[in-house]
Amino acid sequence: MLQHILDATSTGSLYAVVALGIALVFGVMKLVNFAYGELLMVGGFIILLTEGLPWPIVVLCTLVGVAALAFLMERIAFRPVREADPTTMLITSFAVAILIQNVMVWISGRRAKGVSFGNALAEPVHIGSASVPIVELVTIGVIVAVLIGFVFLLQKTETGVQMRAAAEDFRMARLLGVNANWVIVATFVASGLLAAVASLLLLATTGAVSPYIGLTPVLIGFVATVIGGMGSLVGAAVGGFLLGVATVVFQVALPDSIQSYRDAFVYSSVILVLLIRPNGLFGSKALEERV
Amino acid sequence: MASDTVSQMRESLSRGRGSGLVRLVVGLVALVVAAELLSGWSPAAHTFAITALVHVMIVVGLFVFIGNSGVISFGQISFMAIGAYATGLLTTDVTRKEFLLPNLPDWIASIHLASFPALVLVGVGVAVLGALVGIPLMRLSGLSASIATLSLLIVVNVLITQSESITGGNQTFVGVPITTSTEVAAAGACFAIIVAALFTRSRAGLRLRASRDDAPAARASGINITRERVVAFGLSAGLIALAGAMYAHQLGSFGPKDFYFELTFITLAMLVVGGIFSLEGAVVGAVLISVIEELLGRLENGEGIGPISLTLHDGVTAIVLAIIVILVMIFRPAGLVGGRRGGGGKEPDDTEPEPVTPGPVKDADLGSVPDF
Repeated sequence: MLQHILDATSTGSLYAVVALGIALVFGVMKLVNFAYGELLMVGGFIILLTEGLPWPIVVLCTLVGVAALAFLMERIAFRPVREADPTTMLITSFAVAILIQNVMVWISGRRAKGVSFGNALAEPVHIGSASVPIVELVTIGVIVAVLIGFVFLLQKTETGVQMRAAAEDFRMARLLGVNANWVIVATFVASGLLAAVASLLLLATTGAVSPYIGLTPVLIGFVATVIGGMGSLVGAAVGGFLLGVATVVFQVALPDSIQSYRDAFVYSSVILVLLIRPNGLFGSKALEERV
Repeated sequence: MASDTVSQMRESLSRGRGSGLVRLVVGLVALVVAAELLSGWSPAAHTFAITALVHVMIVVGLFVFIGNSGVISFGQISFMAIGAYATGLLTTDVTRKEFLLPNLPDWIASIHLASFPALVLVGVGVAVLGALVGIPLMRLSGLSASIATLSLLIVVNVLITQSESITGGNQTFVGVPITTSTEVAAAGACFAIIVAALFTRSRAGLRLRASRDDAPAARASGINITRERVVAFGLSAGLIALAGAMYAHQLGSFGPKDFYFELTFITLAMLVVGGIFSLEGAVVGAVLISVIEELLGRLENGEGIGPISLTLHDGVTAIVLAIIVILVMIFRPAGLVGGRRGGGGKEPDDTEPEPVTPGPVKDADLGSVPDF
């Protein structure tokens, strides 16, 4: 039982970080950033490249590299369409995703490559009757730390307050003197840092990287953001966590014969949640239709 | 507001009717002639002509729902999968089915239809299925609707890959009779375009576009948005299922991967490059992107185009297509054809709506954005 709880918690917290990165950008720009998964994927390749180095350097390179890519993405692709409607931005972001993915195909080929980063963490530890890979505990620990740091950033720093204000009501924030360019760049960089963290934890768990590893996380983050209630950061994190927990619960609870249908159950419940609460669990008032 | 929009539309419809019809006929003839000429050229060109026509069907099907409702659906390709598998099961030779799918339930195993009745059955059947699926889904709007349809895509894919006794799971489904000639594909594409044009001009299409342009006003004028979307969703599902059936009959084999994210993305790209709110744009985008994809794909595979024989690196096709989409989004967000009056009686207002919030402020007031 304890084992399942830890499984669910670590999967859920990883999903929560991914969802938070997506929700942050969505909140400020109303941009559904499909290319977020590719940040994670590129992070994986940075880990692959730097893998011989001591781990703090690997972590640092990944954080810096992914944040830089997020910055470039905003400058080159998203700034020109910032004034456009959400559909245009959505389509642009998936084009950016396909672009980055295929640049990696060009550079590295389509095949998955093994990564030894975090191998040491695969060893199981025994807690009572449960046997849990260390990496799960590390994941939970790191994510709790990241979330605390993140809350601190949003609550206590000037930029954080501006980011929250912009997520709540972008126009009002601008009228009150928030610099739009700065707050958007900061948002992208912050979401890049979250992607880098997710990337490190994901690779330490799976041990392989290919140009296609970004898709699943971005879908999860996308879905979690909507379930949580678009524009609500807490909602996105909770939505991600619940999605992770749901995945593990279905994994454990479904009888073997229909086990392989797990994802069908997970995504059917997503549809169900949306039908019951179309604005998500923590729907933000800013998104309700005003006449 | 909505009655204004509607009367505006009426006016532009009656004004545009004559020239719209001419455009439609000329466009269809041009499409068919081009496909026929291409088919006679070489076997590779023949294959390409059919592929492009199937793409036209899919993108026109997408347009029927997305273009008219303004709701981005990521789930329409799941109806293509259902169409392809249904056709495969209906038309594959009984003894062959027994051999390839030994665990097939008896009532499916014993069916054998000719390809035309199967096409009709699949088109109508999936249209009804799409409408039924749409009844709950279409209560959602904007991003929630997009996520729900994305979930639909995933759910259908999982069901197909896991129901091994019926679909063969991840294996390629083989043995479907090859009956999609250029003529059949061209007829399919023309059928899709005519249906889309009729729908766009119909009262139902008008009501749906009114709801797209100003949902609260449309609702206030007595339009049941959910119902209008359900109709379009079903119609779109039926057309896309037909495209799936044509696809199955083109190669004789297909797999679940053929109908997943890659095709969803590429067909959406076709729609937006041409112009998301215009039928003409849907056709132009489908043809244009198909041509680019084919030419670059040939270079990527080292096949060469006529005298050109440089070999491109794996991934280049997708990179070029992605850059094209980004550039179109930046410089012509309404699509290449978007600004002009389309074959379906589009008025320019639809593609360049008056900004409700003036000034350069990014629109955080979602109340003024009709739909995601």
